[in-house]
Amino acid sequence: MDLSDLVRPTTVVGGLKVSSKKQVLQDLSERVARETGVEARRIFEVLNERERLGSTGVGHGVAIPHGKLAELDRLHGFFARLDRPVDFDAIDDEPVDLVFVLLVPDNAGAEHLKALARVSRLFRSREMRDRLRTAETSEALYALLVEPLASHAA
Amino acid sequence: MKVIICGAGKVGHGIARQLVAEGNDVTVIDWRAELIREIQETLDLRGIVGHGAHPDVLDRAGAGEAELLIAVTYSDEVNMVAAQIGHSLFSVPLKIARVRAQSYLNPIWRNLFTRDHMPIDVIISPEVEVGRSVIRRLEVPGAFESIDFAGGLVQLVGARIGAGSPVAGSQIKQIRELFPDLSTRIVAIARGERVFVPDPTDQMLEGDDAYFVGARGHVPRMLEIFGHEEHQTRRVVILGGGNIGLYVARELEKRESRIKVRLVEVEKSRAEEAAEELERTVVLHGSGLDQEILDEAGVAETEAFLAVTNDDKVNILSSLMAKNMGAPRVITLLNNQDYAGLVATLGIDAWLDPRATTVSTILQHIRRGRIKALHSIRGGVGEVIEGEALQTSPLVGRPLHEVDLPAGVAIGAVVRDEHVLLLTPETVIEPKDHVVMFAERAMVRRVEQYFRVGLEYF
Repeated sequence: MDLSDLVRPTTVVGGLKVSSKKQVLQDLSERVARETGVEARRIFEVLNERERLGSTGVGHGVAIPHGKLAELDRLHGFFARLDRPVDFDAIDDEPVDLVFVLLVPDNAGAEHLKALARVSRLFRSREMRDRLRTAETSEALYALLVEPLASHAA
Repeated sequence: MKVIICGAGKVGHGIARQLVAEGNDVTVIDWRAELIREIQETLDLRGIVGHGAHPDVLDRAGAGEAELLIAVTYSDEVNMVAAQIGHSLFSVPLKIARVRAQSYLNPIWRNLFTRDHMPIDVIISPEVEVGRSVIRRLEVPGAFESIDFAGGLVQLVGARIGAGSPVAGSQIKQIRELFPDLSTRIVAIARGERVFVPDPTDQMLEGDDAYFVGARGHVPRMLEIFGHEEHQTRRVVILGGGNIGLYVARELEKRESRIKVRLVEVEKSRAEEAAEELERTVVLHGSGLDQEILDEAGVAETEAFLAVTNDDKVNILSSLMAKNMGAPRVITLLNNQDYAGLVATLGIDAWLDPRATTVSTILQHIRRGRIKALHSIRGGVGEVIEGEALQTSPLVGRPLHEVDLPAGVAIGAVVRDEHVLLLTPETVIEPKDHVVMFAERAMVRRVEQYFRVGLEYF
């Protein structure tokens, strides 16, 4: 599984201006809706419901909200770097500024777990996090995400 | 979390206090400026004077950022509309509203409160909840508190270690050694101002309030061990014909046990209404502070006297009078918890905090993870939490003696396939077991972690 299978240049955004976890999920739900045609409120509810069972804030300022949507025909990934970190109820209580939303169809089999593992491995690298935080444009962010694995293996 | 509360009355105030204490960002809306001024003076929150269901007011209160909206004004309709507006215009994910009229709550209309219609996630009815807790206390004589968990298979019981208790002075582990087949565990002890999770070697002292969790059928034995052999209730006197008094009388009339109920109400019109509505209950019109009326109600021969008027002072004084006249048990409604300490020293057996049950319901929904039930004790110093253990939980897959529980946390009961397990150090918790745990306030977050789903949960 490669990140380029999940994200497109149109699904990566830098400098998202939001001030709360709710707004992050709301804003990203709207972007996902535009990309997939699924109703934004549905996406928002799915992501929220998952957060209620346990935050997807994995630490070091990273969150990976995710969920299943029957309407999808393939896996979708969306990445946003926030303008300012927001409280995300994360495992280490640190505010979050790197958010990767992963949405999968109902019948994804084991694909979705592989994708999730791939995404969380990417963010485990401190170097990668630093580079994502300093990249200047959305294009640069996209390039970092889809860069071949070897160049930033930590 | 950003929370909006519509309604700064008793219930709203109690909820706000608890949520502020937990570090939430709370805004309260009420159209009564004096209530807003008062709540702003006592609690660290933002107050807004206005109509709790109007979109512009909710907008000013920050509904766009709110993750939780709690509508507890006196009007069902305002609460329902506030929830609807919160959902439709501001996408507030969690809406809790107080709805009291039985008509709205009738099961035949249960489709009303769903996502597609009127999206209220949790409905609270404080009077009904207090009424239920009165009934539970009547059913468990000897306990000052009793709450069901795991669909009633397990109970949390609070009971005082009485003067004649056979276990006063014993260590906790001695009780386990003496009664090895008893499926109950003492999870917390309240001694004076202090509430703590006891070690096996801690002693129980006369006058302690002990909280234990156990299989329902084992509760009476445990209460005997604590020195409580109260009689089953056959006669009850209720003071106060308001929502709570009526609810309790109605419920008791439905019981097969044929409890004789007498209800005293000071307001003539309300007494007449109560007499009209109730079938077997004898309704008396008069003051609960009038010795003759209490005599006529048969307070001396009753097993329990319930003072549930909306006036705390009347409740306390009449309870003392009833006790003095020979009522063996008095249960007293206290809206103002400042009186709680006083009441215990006056010899009142049990008191009810109408906000405690409501606050517990709300906390259950803001805690993260697979939380099935929650009850907050003694104004929030500790919580009893029932959660579903998942494969990834540190509780699962090793014998209990190897589970590294932090101080201030205790396991009370484990329920597997509708059976309450008899816990030993060798017991292994399995995925999907329901675990009932106690946590001191500071440790609640740790207990949440036991029931959180792992990252890989979709």
